[in-house]
Amino acid sequence: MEQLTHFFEAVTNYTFLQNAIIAGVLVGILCGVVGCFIILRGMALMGEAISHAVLPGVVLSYMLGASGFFIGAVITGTLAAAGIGFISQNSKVKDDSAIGILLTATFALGIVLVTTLDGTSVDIWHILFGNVLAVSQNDLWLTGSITVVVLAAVFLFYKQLVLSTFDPTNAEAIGMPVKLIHYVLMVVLSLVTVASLQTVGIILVVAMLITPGATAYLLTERLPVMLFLSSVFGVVSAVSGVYFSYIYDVATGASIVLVASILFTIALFFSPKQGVAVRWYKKAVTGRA
Amino acid sequence: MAPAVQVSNISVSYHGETALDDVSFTAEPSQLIGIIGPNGAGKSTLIKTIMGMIGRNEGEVEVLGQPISKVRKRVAYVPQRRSIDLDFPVRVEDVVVMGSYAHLAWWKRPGKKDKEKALTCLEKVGMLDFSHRQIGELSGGQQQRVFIARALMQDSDVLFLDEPFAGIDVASESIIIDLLRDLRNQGKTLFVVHHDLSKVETYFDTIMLLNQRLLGFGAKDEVFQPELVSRAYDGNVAVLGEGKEQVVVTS
Repeated sequence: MEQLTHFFEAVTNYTFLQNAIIAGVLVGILCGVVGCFIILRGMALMGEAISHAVLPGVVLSYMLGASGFFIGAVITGTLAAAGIGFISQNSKVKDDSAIGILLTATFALGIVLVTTLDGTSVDIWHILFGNVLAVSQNDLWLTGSITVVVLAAVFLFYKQLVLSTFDPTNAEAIGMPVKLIHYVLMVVLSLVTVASLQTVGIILVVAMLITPGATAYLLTERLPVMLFLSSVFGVVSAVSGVYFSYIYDVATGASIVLVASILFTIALFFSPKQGVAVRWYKKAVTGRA
Repeated sequence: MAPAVQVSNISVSYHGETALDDVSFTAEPSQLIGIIGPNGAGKSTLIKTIMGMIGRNEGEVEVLGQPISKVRKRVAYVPQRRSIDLDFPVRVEDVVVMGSYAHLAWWKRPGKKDKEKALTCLEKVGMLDFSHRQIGELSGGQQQRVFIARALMQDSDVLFLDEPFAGIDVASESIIIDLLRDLRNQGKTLFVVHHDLSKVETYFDTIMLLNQRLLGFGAKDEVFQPELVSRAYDGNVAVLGEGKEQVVVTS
């Protein structure tokens, strides 16, 4: 209790904590919503690959002094996605191997580029693991704009997203641009990674995409409810992650991901309809009866 | 009146392998057509080519006298059940409402009228009581009825159904076949991909025999002949019975 009041006091006093919480809430909602579609389309690994492939783009943008570093990130993220598609269509190498190759190749390129930048302002640790307690006003604007644009697109194209995910053949048959939707989602994944860079970092962003969505998936059978719950879990994880990292002085991104993982574990065992423990209990009760 | 579907000399190949070879036919409206052939005969490929979902090497396709891109709204397509994500968090009534998407502008959402119509479509397939269930909780036959209700929702003139009778219960089977006959009597043209030879004669009035090439297309009495069927199935067919001949696939 004392810690909580201490935390609230700190939040009212320090702008950096307010920024951290705003960034966390935005990323929680953004990743929560986009993540639902990533899970349902079976693109979790693709998300992992794209988030790693963003690294060389970010570093290159710094090197060239480009102010909009998200442009570089989107370019390398999307190129990696295209590369994965190219390998799996033009060779007998399967999708998961193609993802493994490009994920590591692009990430390695990013690391090599960073090491050429000795003694500059680029802090590789912060790009990889986030540094939410150092979120600037500019960072907030970037994260906020990406969140607004992506959520507006999801709202506008909800119908297309749902049908092309649920029944792609039917979507194509009625003339929906199924392939275009797929590639736009790759661009969105790159944008989401950029938006989450400061909060959880490149390595852990995929957890924010998948874990809250998967938790929600276990709890409902309706997509609108899943989207809502997923965002709530994303926000709860982000805010409590910031809290724990402030109080106990531990890494913020990792704390956020741990909270999300704990929520998932609870849902996995205790979801009313699908929970593992709930099913064991029902079995035991009916077994005795 | 323009033919429902007119296909002229289409050929399709995947990665250099022939899937369809010089197929031509003209299907007049108001027919229930069974597309019959062994696995890999190109039955689904034919439908997808007519729908413009697969590129063709050569040939022309017209649906209702026009290129498919102009008449998509008037053509409904029920894919194979296994191409659909049945764990998707969606309820039966929401699946049926998706049938309205073909008619909605890209920014529009289905409205109250669409939802009411979805319920009447569900009633027609005897699935109204299941409208709040998640789609994966239903049996295969019940799911198939829901997907047919979705196609009804579209009010199309031409319907393509890919293996609607695969792995379903007897009750669903008879509901579906009655419904398909009703639609035919209303003047609609239905193409049904089917691989179980035993029911062919009872289900369809027109039969298309396909094995990459078109081996027969016409009234069932003319096309469903042991010799033709045997050719379509590369000889893996046994002829049983005496007077009225029956054919059975042996492998």
